[in-house]
Amino acid sequence: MNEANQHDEKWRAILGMAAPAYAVEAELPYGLVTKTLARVRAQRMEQQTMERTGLRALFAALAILAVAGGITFGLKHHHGPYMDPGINSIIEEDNVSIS
Amino acid sequence: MDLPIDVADCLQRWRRGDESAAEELIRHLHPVIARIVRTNLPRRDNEEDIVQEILMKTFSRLHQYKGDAPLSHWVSRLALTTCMDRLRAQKIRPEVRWSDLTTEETEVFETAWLGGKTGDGTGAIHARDLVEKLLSTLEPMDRSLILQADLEGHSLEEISGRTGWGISKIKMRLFRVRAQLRKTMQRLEETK
Repeated sequence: MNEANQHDEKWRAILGMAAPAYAVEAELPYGLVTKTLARVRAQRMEQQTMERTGLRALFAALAILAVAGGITFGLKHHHGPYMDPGINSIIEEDNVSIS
Repeated sequence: MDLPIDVADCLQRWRRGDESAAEELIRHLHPVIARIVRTNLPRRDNEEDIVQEILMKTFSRLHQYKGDAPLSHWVSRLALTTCMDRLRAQKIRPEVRWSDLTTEETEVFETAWLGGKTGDGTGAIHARDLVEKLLSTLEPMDRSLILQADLEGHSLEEISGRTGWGISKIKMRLFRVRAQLRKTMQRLEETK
């Protein structure tokens, strides 16, 4: 048997000796199911809260966008003077140019 | 050990919020996950915590599972990735010297040299510690590959399913790992 084969054989023998230590018990560790379920439940609730908060933030942002859009649209289609009558008359009297 | 459960039914019930389905899934998946964790991570790591972490990942990503492969395969890949991430954080030893071994580990090494015999419970733990020391010189994925092939006896196709690698890549990598392992054992003997 050459040296490489000897080492391969030895590796297999060591692994064979170690195999029982790698075996998994049939029984679940005590409390694992309860603990995991509790964490899963908490994770689910957190996710739902996040989704709700996200949706609220989205609706709020959409509402702000709609209001801003409405104002912009209103101003664009407003043909009258932009300032109140008092200021407008001053501008007209002094012939102030507004750029 | 796979318990006979209807995975598809369990998943549907879980999506509807039925917690008993989650419990069935945990019982079904635990042996698969625990085996991967025990094989891939050193004995000193807290196995139960890592199993739980993988179970949590599984539940938070269950909506991504499409059902084209068995659930246990999908979870195996998730478990393996988690173990690899943990191993990457650990240092790779440049070599293992005879003085790094405990008396029990040297005994295992010598016994195996003489032909090897199946150890009792304690012997198995010392042998496992020795295996971990020998594998500590390898890259995390290489450790996993050789244990999947030599310890768990998985076929190349099964390893490919778990790792997502092609068969020829696995073959080539295993060849290189075996050569490296031989070198490690040879160096270990030289430092006696």
